[in-house]
Amino acid sequence: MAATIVIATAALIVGALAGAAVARWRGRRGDRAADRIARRFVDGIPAFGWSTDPAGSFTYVSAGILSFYGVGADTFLPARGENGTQKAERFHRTMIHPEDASPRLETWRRALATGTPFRSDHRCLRADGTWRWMRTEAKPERDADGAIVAWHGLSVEIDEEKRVEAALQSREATLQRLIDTVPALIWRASPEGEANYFSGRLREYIGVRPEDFPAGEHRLEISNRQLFHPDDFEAAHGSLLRSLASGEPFRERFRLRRADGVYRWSEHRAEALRDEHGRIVEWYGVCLDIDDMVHVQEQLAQRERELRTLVDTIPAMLFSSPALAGPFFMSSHLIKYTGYVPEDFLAPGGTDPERFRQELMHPEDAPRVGETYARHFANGQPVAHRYRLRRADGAWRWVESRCASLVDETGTTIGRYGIMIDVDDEIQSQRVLRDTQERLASASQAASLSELSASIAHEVNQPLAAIIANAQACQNWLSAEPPNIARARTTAERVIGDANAVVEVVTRIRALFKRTPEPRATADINRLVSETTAVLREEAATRGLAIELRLTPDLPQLAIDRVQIQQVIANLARNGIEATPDGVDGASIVLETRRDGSDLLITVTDQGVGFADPNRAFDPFVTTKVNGMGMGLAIARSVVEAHEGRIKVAPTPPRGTAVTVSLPIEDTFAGALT
Amino acid sequence: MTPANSPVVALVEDDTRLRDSLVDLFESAGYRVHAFGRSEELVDASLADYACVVSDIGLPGADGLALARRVMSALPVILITGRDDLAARAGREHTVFRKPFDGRALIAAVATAVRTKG
Repeated sequence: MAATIVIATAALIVGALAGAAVARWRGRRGDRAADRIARRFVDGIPAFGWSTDPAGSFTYVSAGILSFYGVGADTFLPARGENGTQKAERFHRTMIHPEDASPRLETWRRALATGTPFRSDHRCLRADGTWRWMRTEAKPERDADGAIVAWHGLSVEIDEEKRVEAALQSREATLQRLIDTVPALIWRASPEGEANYFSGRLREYIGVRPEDFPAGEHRLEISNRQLFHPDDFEAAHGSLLRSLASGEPFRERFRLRRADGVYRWSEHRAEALRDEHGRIVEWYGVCLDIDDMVHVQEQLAQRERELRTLVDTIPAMLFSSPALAGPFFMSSHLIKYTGYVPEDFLAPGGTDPERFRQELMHPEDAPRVGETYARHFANGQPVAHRYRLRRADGAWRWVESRCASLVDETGTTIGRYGIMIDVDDEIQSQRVLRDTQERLASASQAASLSELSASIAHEVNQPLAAIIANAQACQNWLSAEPPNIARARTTAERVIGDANAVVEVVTRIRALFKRTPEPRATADINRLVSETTAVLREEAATRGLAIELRLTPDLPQLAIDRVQIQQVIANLARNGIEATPDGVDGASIVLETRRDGSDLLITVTDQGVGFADPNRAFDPFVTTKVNGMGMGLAIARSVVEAHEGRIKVAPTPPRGTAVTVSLPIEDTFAGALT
Repeated sequence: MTPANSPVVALVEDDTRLRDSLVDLFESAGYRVHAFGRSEELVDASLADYACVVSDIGLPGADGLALARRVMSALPVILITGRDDLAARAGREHTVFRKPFDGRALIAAVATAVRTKG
């Protein structure tokens, strides 16, 4: 300290130059001129000199002291009846700060008793009434025998130094409080990296002090092994050594052992403090416990990994786009499928969906998909559509895409999320199925044609056989002796009747097949049934039968070949009439229409004898009719199947048969594809 | 007119038109005819009244082949049909006429059958 140096210098000067003069002054004899010189010298130096006898009574005080205290020399002299010790006590009580008086007096007494040098810092009452810090040092003067003959002391005002010292202490305390309050763990180390200071928090955290580590060559490694997680030691310690060698800042994240033995993630940083020559003086470091944060981050990362795995594992292509700006998201399946990455669609301010449409969507599908999305943007409803997407190999493949918006509580769209599934194989197999169905239908029509010709042959053969039998009978009647003219005439009339029956068959077949196929037109099935059955009512009535209609109102219109379906209805109704045996008076043929899901049903129910085996109903030769006339169900079936419908025969116990024709209301499948 | 003691032909045919014609044909050849629409109407008890049976194969209910199997031990059976497959099948055991058939040939077959029965 500067103050100490000043005092030491002053004491040296006093000892060397003034010693003889003081001795002379004390003896009150000798050269008065020399004595004056010595006093002037002592009084001139910026310190206060004084002397006492071995008992402590002042024998000399410098002028500076008297001036400082603002008193006369008598103040230092013992009063009447007062010895030196009492005087000293009085001095201390009046001139020394109460807090300092007793310790100083004690030290002084001990010095007097033992002859050891005296030293004291204390506050003295200056003439102006202020307390000033003073530092006093005194030494005994001994004679040749070693006996103390006097004490010589020097007092220096150290008030300024004391204030600086107090201010320094205050600043240091503030800094210490700061260091101990900041929620970080702070340390200081030598240029070699050996720790020489741990902040209070760090000491508490790791439970050791720098001095707890054994001194020696491997001190740094030993201490780090003790504090770093074994798995992190190599990397972190290595990094620290590199920083120490290069002087570059140290920055690492590793697990630090806490006092309780638990390793916690911490973030470490240290930088070197250099002197004016650039040499490293010390390293200062800080570390932060980031364990909780690391665990939260780990959990988040884990969640993200799981979600990513989920997204990449499910066998579908996922995508999302933010509502305003930011990149498009594509799952790995989608990236692999298209050969594009999200960055390919980046545009200023976000994503450019136009590029996706232009490059990946089939030109024939793009406008339709664009319209769907425009609707989605307008009403926020989820969308689902199918379009052709270009695969990375250039192949256009059908995909089914569904997309929905995520909306926050204020109704603002946050983003759009979608899924795409390759349905090309499904669509191709549906197409194959449809083609197969079409081929089957034409094959079935060809089969129907052969069934039809057999059926026609049967219908014609029957009256033809009758005609031939009649003709033979007629010849027999005429050849008889005598010729039976009456029977011959009757028989000849029957020939005409049977021939007309053949004509009827031919006419009816011609009515059914003379037309070339016509474009289908929408028709009201109820009206068709009413019109068709109107012409059959009379025929039914002659057989004592009624035709009853049970028509469900407001059925959808069907796209059909009106004439063909009319023929089917007429044939089914006529079959019903003819299947009902004579004598079942009051029986009725019921025609019913109704809807069943996506089909429209027309059911014709009779009370005839029924089929022994409904499965054989379509066999052209199976008939329940008493008179085997009428077109077979086979023909009706070929017409219905040409309309992609079905025809079904079921018995209606106890007697009768229900024939149901079902026609599809609309071709939804075709609609979904185009 | 057909003599009261002439042989009786049992005819089973569901088509009324052809049935009427065959009745006429057989009567013109000097037979009496009992005609039925279904085979079940030809009951066992009355088989002795007939000289032969002429039956269509395709019939509602029990068909002509079933009828033939039931009565052939008692009566000669002549079958008629419009179907080639049925004609071929029945032809192995029975006399079969394919519609349309020659009326004279049918009468000749009936005459042979009546003689056999006789």
